[in-house]
Amino acid sequence: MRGYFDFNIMIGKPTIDPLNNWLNIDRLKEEMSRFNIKKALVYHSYSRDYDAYFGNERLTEEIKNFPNLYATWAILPIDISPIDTFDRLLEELKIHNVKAVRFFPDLHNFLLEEEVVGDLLSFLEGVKIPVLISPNSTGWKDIYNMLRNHPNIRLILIDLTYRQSSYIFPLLKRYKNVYIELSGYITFLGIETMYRKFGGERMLFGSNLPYKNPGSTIFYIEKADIPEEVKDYIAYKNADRLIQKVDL
Amino acid sequence: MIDAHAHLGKWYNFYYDSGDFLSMVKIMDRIGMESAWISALMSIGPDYELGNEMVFEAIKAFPDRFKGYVTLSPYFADKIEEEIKKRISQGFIGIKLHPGTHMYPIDGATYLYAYKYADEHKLPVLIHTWGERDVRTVVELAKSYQNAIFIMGHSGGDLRSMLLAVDLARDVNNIYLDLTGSAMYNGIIEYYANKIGSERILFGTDFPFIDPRPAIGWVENSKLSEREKYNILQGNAKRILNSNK
Repeated sequence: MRGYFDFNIMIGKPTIDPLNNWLNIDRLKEEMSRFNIKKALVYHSYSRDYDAYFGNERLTEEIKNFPNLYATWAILPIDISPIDTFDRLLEELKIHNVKAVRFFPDLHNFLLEEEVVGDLLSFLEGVKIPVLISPNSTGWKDIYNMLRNHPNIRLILIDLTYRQSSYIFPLLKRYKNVYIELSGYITFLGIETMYRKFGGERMLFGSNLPYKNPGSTIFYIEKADIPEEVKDYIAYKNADRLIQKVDL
Repeated sequence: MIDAHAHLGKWYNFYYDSGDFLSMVKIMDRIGMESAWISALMSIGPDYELGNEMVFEAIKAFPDRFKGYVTLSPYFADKIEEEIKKRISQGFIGIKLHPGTHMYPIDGATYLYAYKYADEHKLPVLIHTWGERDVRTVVELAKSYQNAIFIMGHSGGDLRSMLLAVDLARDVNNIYLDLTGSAMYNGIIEYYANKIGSERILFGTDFPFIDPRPAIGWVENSKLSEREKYNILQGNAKRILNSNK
């Protein structure tokens, strides 16, 4: 069975969880073993649903003994962040071995405008760290504006839907550092179409655990009509390469 | 496996490659899908008659791979009886209603003939449902037309409605819960099976509106027994087909 690098996992209790799906580390390890997920980028529910940096610190604590789990921090505009200089932010990202950051503009109530996050995006662009954003949390026009101002940012589009190819394709065509995480992109023949148009280098496996079953995206990849070696890149190698390039 | 909630063709507001019946058969062969029960997106959209004809063409080309739902438009009330009889005589297996795109109530007067016909002939009626009100309406209809087989499309759609659907449908045996949905919530299949039994759950994907593969992976990798997966992926659909032969 092919090994996977999961770019999109949440641990911790979320505010809304009617099916009681939340993952602690033990449950996460079980899921990773079940689906042969070798490595994962993980964020904490508290950083989304309670307080970004409280959750980030909790994340560090919970994953510290697991070298195959990498921290994804929720990040805030510098003006409302407890880490209020870029020197300090750089230091904190290094200390906590953070390998990706995540914006929640809607939930954390800020605009993805240049006046708000322009300096932060320049910083993130400079350290080549993957930035995960759901277009549904901000709007596609904001994504387009952001990329016009920060064309080299390593942007990972997450929580996509099957209706969004018309927004995604122009970005992949124009910006070489835009990637898509596949768990929500369930468009008919989506993987095949993406491969035909843009190659396989910018598709990433993500499960969106605990909300989705990893077997869903894995089956989609495994049954895609694309070369086996491209599946290896989508499953693992693209993600691993992105993480190795982070320059903190 | 059998996809009991599939389509055919294109949809106006988003892009996907192909969507014609040849592209569908190609992917069905690749993933081992035995057959798909289809309604045309054209019928759910602007032209029920042209869409039903598209379905008929697909059935004629691949009679073992496609089964047809006759889709009805509430805006052609005087044609409903004629269209149902014509398409059932052509081998269609059931009726599809989409009160969402047609913006018409599930229990609206124009639809009532369809339920009566399905009741008399023990046919499946696949109804798109979205929201608690739709769930409640389908449950009431199923109690009134007990010989018809009600397939609750998307089982209410949003998570809250899905949880309501399983509670309300539990004691109404002519309702099947349809798994079709873009969200594919982790754990909901196990929750359904535990509450209502795997015999009352139908596999569907919206294919080719949505790619069928993620949904297959979702069911195959659920924490159900092989027997329960079999029921969902094909056993229940086969039982429905055999029940009105």
